[in-house]
Amino acid sequence: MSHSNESNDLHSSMNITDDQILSMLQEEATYEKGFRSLMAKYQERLYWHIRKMVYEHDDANDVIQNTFIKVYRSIDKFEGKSKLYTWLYRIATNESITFINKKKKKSTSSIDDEEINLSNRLKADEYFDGDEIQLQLQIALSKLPEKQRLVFNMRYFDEMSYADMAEILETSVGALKASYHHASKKIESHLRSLAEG
Amino acid sequence: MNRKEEIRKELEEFAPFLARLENKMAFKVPKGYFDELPEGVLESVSPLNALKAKEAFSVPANYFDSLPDLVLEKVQPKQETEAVPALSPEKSTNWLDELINSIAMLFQPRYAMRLAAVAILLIGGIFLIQNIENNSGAIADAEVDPLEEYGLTIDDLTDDDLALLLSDTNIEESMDNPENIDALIDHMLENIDDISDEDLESLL
Repeated sequence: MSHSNESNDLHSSMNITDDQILSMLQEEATYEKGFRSLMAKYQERLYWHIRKMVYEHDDANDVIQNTFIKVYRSIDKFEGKSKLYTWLYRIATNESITFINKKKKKSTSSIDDEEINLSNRLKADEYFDGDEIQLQLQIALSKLPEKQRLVFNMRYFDEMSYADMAEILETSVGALKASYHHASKKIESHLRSLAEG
Repeated sequence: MNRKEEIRKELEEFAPFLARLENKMAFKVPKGYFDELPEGVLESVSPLNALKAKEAFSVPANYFDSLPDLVLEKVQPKQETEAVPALSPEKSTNWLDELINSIAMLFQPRYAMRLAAVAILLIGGIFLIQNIENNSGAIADAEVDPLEEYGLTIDDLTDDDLALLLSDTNIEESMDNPENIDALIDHMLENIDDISDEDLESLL
């Protein structure tokens, strides 16, 4: 297949509807094509969602691959009660949290060490090109409880509606609003103290 | 109002400093990463796909037909023609080496097993022969005349003893021996006077 054909396929996959993808996934003959379409359509959004949780590209790559493998194995369990997009996000979120928890168990560093480590890691990371404010934003985010960090990322960076977030995180809209409020205030405080200090 | 604008206004209420920041993504990915990711995932799931379709393991055609022969080939002793490299008697130069080699060969598993089998057969054979001899003795003893066994002759027996003996022993077998018949007739002739007419009639 030529590069232009691949690009056309990718472009058409981006425009394909979820119903068309699910329809292809129901037939053995079109299963792989359907799965390719699903990955092409959602891989970037899911990757960035994961990357913001795990920070490093190699870790994000592992988690996104595990996410898609899980989707491949369990797509027949998708009942269509929620949007395909929110179902995929939920799997990616769960995989990210599982990964983070495993990493925490292996780590022997204190919270302060973690902050220094993250700062050093991001500064040395060739795939992070944020300025000092961006770096401090990530450090402030890393201090939040995981749920608040998830909520902030989904609202602030992914610009997701509270309704979709409620479906993905299986939490009420009111609780999500409160969580976003608390997270934003803490980050604001961290950034202000740096700007004023 | 679009969602982006709605989110910015929402944030301005409780985090005005943060609301003014550009929410750009500071992370990057390697060049071409998203082009390669689907292939990597499909590579990972392909074996799973194959597993779904069929059993993961298989055996060569007719494997189970040939398995018993393969096993027997391994457990049965090999042909005598197989050389014994280190201990080959042909390579020995004198009788002492030959003797040492021969003894050493006996401790090799295949020769040791044969030797053990021969020893078991020999011991078993000796035991069997002894057993047969003992049994033969018992049979011979059983065939000994009860009178001889106790150092008696028929003359030493009373009529009652004779009657008891005849009832216990097989008369036909006893009568096969001419000596027993002669002895019985002689005994009867010697004591004929003691036999009543009634006994004679019943005997005849």
